[in-house]
Amino acid sequence: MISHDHDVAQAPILLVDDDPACLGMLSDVLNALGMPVVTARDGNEALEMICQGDIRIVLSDWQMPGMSGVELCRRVRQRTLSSYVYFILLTSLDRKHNLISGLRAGADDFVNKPFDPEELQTRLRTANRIVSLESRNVIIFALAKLAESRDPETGAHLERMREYSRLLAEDLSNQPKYADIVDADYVRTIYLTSPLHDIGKVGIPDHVLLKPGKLTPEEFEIMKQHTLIGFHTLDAAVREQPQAAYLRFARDIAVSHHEKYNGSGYPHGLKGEDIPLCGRIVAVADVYDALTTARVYKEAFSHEKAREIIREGSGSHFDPDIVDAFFRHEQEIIEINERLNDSLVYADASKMTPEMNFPLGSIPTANGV
Amino acid sequence: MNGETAQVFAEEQSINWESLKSRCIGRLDLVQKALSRFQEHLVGDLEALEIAAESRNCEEIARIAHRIKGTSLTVSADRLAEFAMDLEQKAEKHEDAMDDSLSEIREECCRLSEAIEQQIAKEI
Ligand SMILES: [Fe+2]
Ligand SMILES: [Fe+2]
Repeated sequence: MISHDHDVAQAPILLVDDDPACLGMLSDVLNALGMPVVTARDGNEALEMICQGDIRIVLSDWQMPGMSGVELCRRVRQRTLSSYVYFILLTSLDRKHNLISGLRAGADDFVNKPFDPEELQTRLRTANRIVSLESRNVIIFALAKLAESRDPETGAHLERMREYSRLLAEDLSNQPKYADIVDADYVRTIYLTSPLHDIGKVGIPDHVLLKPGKLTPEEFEIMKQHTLIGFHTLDAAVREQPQAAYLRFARDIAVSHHEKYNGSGYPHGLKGEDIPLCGRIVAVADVYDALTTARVYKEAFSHEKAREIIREGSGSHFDPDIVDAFFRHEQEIIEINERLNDSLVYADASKMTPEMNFPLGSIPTANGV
Repeated sequence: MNGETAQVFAEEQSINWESLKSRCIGRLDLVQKALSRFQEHLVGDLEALEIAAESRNCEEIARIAHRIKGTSLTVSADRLAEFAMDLEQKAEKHEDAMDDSLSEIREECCRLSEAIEQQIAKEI
């Protein structure tokens, strides 16, 4: 037996009930049992909380004015990008609830109202065990780090990249033009999958990948292949699990993050909005980070110099909308860059690039960030 | 209250204390909280019910009765829950005999208030 209940942190439980007396009692009792809870009074409020937060377990009343528990469950299941949400419906004994309709909507379990605390606790433990089995987030990041370990662009590149990408996507979600495409799930997914953008570099031979200095045209052709290698790797995963929309997202980023807005990028020379939006976002994040990071063969550019290059690239290299987003959050970008500084995040970064001097001092680990 | 007396009086009691206590995992502070929350909402629901009954608004009556039933069940006020369910069903079928259920509910609510106040006084 690997996993014991005590080893698994209890995920917060969202309670949904239109009856405040039931809601209050349920929440008091679960709190007393040491389970963290949040509450919503109707389906719409609940859906909003599920979309915004990181709620993994929902315990919802069946019958509610407005959106019913079954409808809420159906809506939760329609979100294809997000982590799995374990959904329990509360049924009352006197109603002949159509359990099949609950199951069809995607409910995982049913609990009778009024509840029996012991039974409820047991069922919630099961729920927690199931959602904690899903380890995709950490596996994705581990995979990205593994791919990066062969790459001289080490340090906290991936950590900064995903922060920039999230920041830019978050900004777009507030712009009317993108509000329909970029929602909270999109923002979370770009944060999750952007570190995989260069996963195809595992397939690039050492003499090209590790070459200090400028690549010859032939070598550059080989280097470009990392986008297609990444695509094929992730596309195989997509075919294996077509319902996992985040894999498709990761695949699109891998293949399109070197495309340029004017069509002069690679591998396909896509233009403008033919480039997937996630690729256009990651392009800005990736280039800015590459510019402001020192390499074996070059010094780090200052933010001022990097921002000018981003500005000049607007409309040619980069999507102007995303460049605008970049400049709306310049201060936060500088902060991320400073906070996730390589020399601070990676204690042994100086060993990887011996030519450089890193400031000494107390060095937090990457996990602490 | 020991288990034996609870058994004897269960029939006559407005609240099934044992079942309420076990739902509150034996914590009297949670019982108190649940009861005061229940009472607070019951007052409002009763007022709304009277208004709906006066205007013979069956849909509204059914809705409020349903809510009273749910709230009662959480605190194991099983008899009130039964009366409320009765009323809910009658209102849904637009039956005329709703007045009986209504007065049953009124009376039961009086008994409940008394029982709850006694209980709260006892615990404090
Ligand atoms: Fe790349
Ligand atoms: Fe990169």
